[in-house]
Amino acid sequence: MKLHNKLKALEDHVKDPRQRFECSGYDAETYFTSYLLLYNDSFEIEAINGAIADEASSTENTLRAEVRVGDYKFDGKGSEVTDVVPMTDNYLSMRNTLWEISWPAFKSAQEDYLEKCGGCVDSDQDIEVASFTKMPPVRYRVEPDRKPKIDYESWKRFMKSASKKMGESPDVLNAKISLTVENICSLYVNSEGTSIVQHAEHYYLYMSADAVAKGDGELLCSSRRHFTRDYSEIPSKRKISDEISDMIKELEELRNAPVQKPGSFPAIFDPDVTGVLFHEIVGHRLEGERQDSEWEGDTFEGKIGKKVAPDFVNLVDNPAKRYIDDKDKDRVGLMGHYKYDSEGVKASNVVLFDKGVLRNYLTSRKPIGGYDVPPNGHGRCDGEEDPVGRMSNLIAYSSTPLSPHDIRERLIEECAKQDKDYGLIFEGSSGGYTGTEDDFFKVFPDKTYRLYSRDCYDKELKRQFRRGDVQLVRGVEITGTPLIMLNDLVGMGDDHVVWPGVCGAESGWVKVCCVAPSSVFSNMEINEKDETSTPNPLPKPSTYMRKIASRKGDDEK
Amino acid sequence: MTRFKTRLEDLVDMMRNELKRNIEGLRMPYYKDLAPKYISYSFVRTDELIVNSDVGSVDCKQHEHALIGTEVRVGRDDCKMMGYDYDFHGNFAEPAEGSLDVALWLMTDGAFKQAASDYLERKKGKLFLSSKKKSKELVFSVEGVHEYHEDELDIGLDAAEWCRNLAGATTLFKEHERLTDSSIELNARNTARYFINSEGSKILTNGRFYQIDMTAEGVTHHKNRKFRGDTVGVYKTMYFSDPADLPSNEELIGITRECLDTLDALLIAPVQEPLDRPAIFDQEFSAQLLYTVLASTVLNACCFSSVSEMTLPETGEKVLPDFLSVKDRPDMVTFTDRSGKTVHLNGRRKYDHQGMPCLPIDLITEGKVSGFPCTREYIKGMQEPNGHAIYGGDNVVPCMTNMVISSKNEDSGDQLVEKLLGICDEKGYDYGFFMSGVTEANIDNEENFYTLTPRLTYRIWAKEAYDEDSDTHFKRGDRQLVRGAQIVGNPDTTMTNLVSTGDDYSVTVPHEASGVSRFHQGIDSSVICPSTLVSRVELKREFYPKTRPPLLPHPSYGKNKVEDKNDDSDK
Repeated sequence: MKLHNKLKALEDHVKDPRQRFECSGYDAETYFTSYLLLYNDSFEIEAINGAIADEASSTENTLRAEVRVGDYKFDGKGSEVTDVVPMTDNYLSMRNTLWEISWPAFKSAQEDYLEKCGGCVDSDQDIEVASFTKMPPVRYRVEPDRKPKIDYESWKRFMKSASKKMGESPDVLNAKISLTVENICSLYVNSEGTSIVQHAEHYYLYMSADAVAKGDGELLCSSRRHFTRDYSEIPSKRKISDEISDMIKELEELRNAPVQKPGSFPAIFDPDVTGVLFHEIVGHRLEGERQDSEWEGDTFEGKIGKKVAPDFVNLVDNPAKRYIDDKDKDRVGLMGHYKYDSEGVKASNVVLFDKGVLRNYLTSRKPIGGYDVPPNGHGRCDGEEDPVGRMSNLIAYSSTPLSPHDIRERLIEECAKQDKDYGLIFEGSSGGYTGTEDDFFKVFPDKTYRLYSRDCYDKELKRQFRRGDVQLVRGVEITGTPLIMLNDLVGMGDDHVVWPGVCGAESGWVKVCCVAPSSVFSNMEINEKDETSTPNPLPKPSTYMRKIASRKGDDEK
Repeated sequence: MTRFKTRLEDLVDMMRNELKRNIEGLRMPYYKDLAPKYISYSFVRTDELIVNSDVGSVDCKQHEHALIGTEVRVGRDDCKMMGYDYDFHGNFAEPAEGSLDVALWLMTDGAFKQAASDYLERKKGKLFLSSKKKSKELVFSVEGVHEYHEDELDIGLDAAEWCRNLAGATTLFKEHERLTDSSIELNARNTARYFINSEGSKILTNGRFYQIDMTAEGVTHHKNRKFRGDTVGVYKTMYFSDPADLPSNEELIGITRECLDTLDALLIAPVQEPLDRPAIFDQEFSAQLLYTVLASTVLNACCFSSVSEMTLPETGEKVLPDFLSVKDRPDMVTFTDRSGKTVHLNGRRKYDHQGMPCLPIDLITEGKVSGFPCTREYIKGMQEPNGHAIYGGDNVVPCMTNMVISSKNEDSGDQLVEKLLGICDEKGYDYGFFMSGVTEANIDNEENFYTLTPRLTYRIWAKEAYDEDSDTHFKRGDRQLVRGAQIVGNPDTTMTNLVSTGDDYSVTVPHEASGVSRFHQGIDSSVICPSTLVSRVELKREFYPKTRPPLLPHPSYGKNKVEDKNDDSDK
C-alpha cells in the first residue's frame, strides 16, 4: 500500500498555520491537533456444514481528528471520525478530507471547553488537574513484515470438507469454521511534531460446533480458536483435523455430563481462565481514567504502595513485548503488541503488582488527579473513540510458582479444610466481562470438572468416586467481586499460556492478550449459566442432511 | 377531613351488576369458546395527608382518590394454563352515578381481550418448551365463597397538630450552618379496599400507613480534591401502620437533633477505601440484606407470568445458613422487642388482593427452602395458594407480609463484637466494620449481585492504631465513623459468610430494592430480624453527587462552627 502522499498530507496539514481555526468571540485557541488514520485490509472465509457461507474481502479506512482548545492545563476536546477516506495515495484529496473533519472537531472542542467552564461553576473538580500531558515529538517508521503467501483456495477446500465432517457427526447441530486475515496500517501525526507509521497482521481461525444436552436441552458449544500475529502460528490442517475430532468427542461428553449446582467451591483455573480472570477483575480496574471517575467502584484507587493481593502475585502489562515462550511452545506472538499507542506515546512495560503491592496504573495522556503517574503508552482506541488507558499484554506470574501436582494438592487440601467432597477445575474460556462501577465480574469457562478430594459416594450422581477422580459437569459460570476473589487466590503455577483476544471498553475494541499460569482459589462462586435451551429438533440434523444430500447430490462429489 | 359519601352497599351493587353482565355476556367473535372463566373487581379508596416542612415553614395537602381494578381469566375448564389480565383505572374522586358502570364495562372489555390474547400466547409458548420446563404447569385455583367485612377507618391523626410538630422540628434546621438541603415530610394514608368476584366472594379490608422522611444534606470541604464537594446526606425514613406508634413531638425533635449531629459527624468523617473485611450489620441492615437476597432468589422466582419464565428453586434447596429460618406471618399483629416496645406490623392482613385468606408460610427452614408465597396461580405439586397476591402495576404478583427471621445461633451484642475482633486477629486486619441502617438497596438478578448502602458505617478497631486520616489514636474495640462505603456482593457468597446473629430482634420496614422487577416490595410489609455477623464482605466506594458549596456563608455564620481537620474552606 502506498502511503507516502497521504502521510505527507497528514504532516503538512497538522503543521499548516492556516488550518488553525478561529472563532470570533471565543478566546480558547487551538493548542493541539492530531490525526489517526487506520487502514484495515481484511479477508474472511466462513464454511458452515460443508458449504462456503461467506467470503468477503474489505478495506476499511478510518480517519480520526482530535482538536484541543485552551491549554494543557485546562482544555476542551473535540474529535471527528470519518470512514470516507481516499483509497488512493492522493495528496490533495487527503488534505481535503482532513480539512473537512477538522472543522467539526474544532467546533466540538469549543463546545466542550464552554461546557467544562460551565461545569466548574458547580464543581471545581476539573480545574485542579491538568487536562492533557505534553509529550516530546517522536518520529517512527516501520516497514510492514513480508506478507505470507496464503493459498485461500486450498483453505476453502479444507474448510468445506472439515466443516462437513464436523456437521455429519450425529449430535452436531451446526458446524462452522472461519478464517479471517487482517492487515492493519496506522498513521499518527500530531501538532507536537510526532509522526508514526506502524503495521500489524492478525490471523484468526475459529471452529465451533453446537449440540443439545440430553435431558434439559441446554445448547452446548465446543470451539477452538487460533488468534495470532504470525501466519506461521496457525496450526497445520492435519492438526486442525485432530482438533475437530477432539471437539466432537468433547461435545458428546458434554451432552452426557450432569449439570453442576451453583454454590461455592475451592477451584483450579487453567491458564486460560486465570488470564481472563486477571483481565476482568484486576486489569480493567487499573485503567487510569477509572481512578479519577466519580462513578467507578474505586477498587484500587489510592492504593499505590499498598498490598492489594497475596504476596506471590506479580502482574505487568507490556505492549512492547512481541513474543513470549509459553508452556506449549517457544516464541508465541502477543496480540497486544505495539510500539506506540494511539496517542503517539512509546509503549512501556508497566509493573502493576509487585509481590502483591500495587505499583502503577495503565495511563494515557490524560493525567490522573492526585497522582504523579506519567503517560506509559497505554492510551488505546479503535480508531473512532477517544483513547483511554487500556490493557495490552497482561502478564501474571508467581514469585513462588507451584507445580501442576502441587496445585491439585492445594485444591484437595482446601476441600478437606472446608469438608467438601470435591473442588472444581475450570478449563478454557470464551471470555468474560466486568462492571467496574458495580464491582462484579463474570467469567465463562469452556469446561468444568469436579475433582474429588476423598473417596465418597456422590448421592446426586449415584456413583462411587475415589480421591483424585475427575467428573465433567456443565451449566456453570464463574461470578464474584474482585477483592474477595483476589484474596481467595492461594497459589499460582508455572505453566504459562498465552490467551489472545479482543477487549471492548469505552475506547472501543482493541486487541489484547493475557499470559497467566494455572491458579488455585480457596473459594469460588459459581452461578447457573444463563440457559439457552431448545428441544431436540426432529428429524435429527445429520439424518436430514444425509437425506438432502442423497436426493440432490452432494456438491462436494 | 372529608370522606367519601357513596355508601358501600351502593358501590357493591354497582360492581356486582356489571360483573354479572360481563361474565354472562362477554364472548369473542370467531372464538366462541373463549369466555371469561373468572372476573373480579376491586374498588380502592384512599384518604391522603401530606405535610412537608423545612426551616419552620409548612405545606399541607389533603386529598382523596379512588381507583378500580379488574382481573379477568380466560382458558381451560380445568383452570390450567389460563390467560389473564389485570387492569386498573384511577382518579375516581367520587363515583358519580353511572360513571362506575361505564368504567367497569370498558375496563373489563379491555382486560378480557388481553386475557384471551395471553391465553393464546401461553398455548403457543407451550409447544416449544424444553423437557425440563414441560413438567411444570400453572393452575388457577378454584375457591369457595369468602365474605369478610372490616369497619371503615379514618386517617387517624390530626393534620393541624402534625403541621405544628413538623414546623417545630424543622426550626432546628435554621441554625445549622452546613445544611444545603433539608426537609421533613409526613405522608399518611388510609385505604379501604372493596373486592368482589364471580365466585361470590365479598371482602372489605382497611389499612393505614404512615411514613416520615427526614432529609439533611451538606457539602464536604475535604482537602483531597476527590472527596471535596461531595453532597453527603442523612436520610431517615420511618414507617408505621398504627397512629399509636408515631413519634411524639418530643421524640420527633430528638430524632431531628440526632440526624443533624450525624450529618455534622459525616461531613468530617474519613472516606473509607474499598476493602474485604468482616462486618456486623445492625437489625435494619440485616433485615434489608436478607429481604433483598431472598427477594432475588426464592421470592422473585415465584413471580412468573408464563411457564417459560419459571425458575422456581426446588423445595429443600439451601439458600441460607442452617441456623436461620424464615416464616411469613400475615396473622402477626404486633411485635414487642426486648426493651418492651411494641410495634404494629405493616404486613398484618386477613385477605389478599385476590380475596384469599392470608395464611402463614414456612419459607425457609434451617436454611432450606420449604415454601413460597403464592397467588391463586400456582404450580400443582409444589405449593398451594396461600393468600399472598397483590395487584402491583398491571400484574398479580406474590408478596411478603411479615417476614420473621429466627436464628439458632444467637450471640449478645458484646459477643458479636468479640467474634468480629477474633476474625480480624486471625486475618491480621486492623479493623472490621459495623453498619447501621440502609439508604439504598439494588439487586441485579441477571448478574447475581447486589449493592446495599448503609446509612452509617463505623470501623471497629481490632488493634491499637493511629489513623492518619482523622489524626486520632484508637484502642481495640473503639468505633470510628467513616463514610463512602457500599456493600457489594453475590447473594450466595454473603449468605455463606454469615457466621451468627445477635439476640436483639426488632422490626424493620424494608426499602424497595431496585432491580427486583417482578416480586412486589412495598411499605405494606415488615421484617423482624436480629443483627448479624458476616466473616467477610466487600466494600466499594459510594458515589456522591458533586457540587460547589454555597459561595456566601450561612446567615448565622460563626455561631455554630464545626471543627474539621480536613476542612480547607477557610484557607
